[in-house]
Amino acid sequence: MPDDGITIDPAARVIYIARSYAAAVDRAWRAWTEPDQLAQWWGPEGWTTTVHEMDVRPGGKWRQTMTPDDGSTEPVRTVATYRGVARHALLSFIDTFAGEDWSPEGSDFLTDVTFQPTAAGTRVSIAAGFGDDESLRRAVELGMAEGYLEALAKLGRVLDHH
Amino acid sequence: MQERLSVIAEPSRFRIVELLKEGPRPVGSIVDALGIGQPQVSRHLRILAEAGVVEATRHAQQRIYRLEPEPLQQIGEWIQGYADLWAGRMDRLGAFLENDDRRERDHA
Repeated sequence: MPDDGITIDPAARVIYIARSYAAAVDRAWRAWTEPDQLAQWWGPEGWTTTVHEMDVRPGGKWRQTMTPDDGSTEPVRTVATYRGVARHALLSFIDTFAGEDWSPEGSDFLTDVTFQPTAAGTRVSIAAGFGDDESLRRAVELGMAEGYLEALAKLGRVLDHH
Repeated sequence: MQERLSVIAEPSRFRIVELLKEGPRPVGSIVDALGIGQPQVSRHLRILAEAGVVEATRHAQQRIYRLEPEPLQQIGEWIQGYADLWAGRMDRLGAFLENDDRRERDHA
């Protein structure tokens, strides 16, 4: 993926997105790995993110709640497990929506975040999706898709308003 | 939407959908490609047809199956929504990093 932008691979159900920022790699890395920083931009707009746990190491958990500021819908809970962590280079995690007791609601969404130093700052690249067909099948079979679609629809509506 | 995703997510049906993306096919050709029995293939095709994912037309002695465009469009729209979500997030990260930068400069 040479340029900043979005590529959607519908066959693989993965989206690729990259952005270049003026900030140094360490700044961008901290924005992703320190709870008080991530909560300030994770969003979406009009939602408040509360990070309950962020244990950035392979196998570590990242639990958070996203709450709509206007109280229009239920909070959305997600729990992620970090898979690959290479400081200033790679952050890889699997996340799922979770119930009130933090039990995972089934689906695995795979996200790889790559940090690259550039002359001007940092390029952050995301690969996000079901990863492969098998993951999509498993996600849907586990009945997770519905909750995720609902959550996405809510988020989409919120985004549309901004 | 959810029901269609569930229907398509079953492994054999997923393979049928992938196959039909290349173009309409008669049942026999689907049976050959999947390497499973005709009764199973027929059952999967019936489920796909009931969910509105495929439609059948009779041509001479054969039933030809083709994909209905709409369900795939819906899935495409869903993926687009997911992409929009990430695009917004990356924008906010940019704004956050800029503000952060300004704040540090002001403190310096």
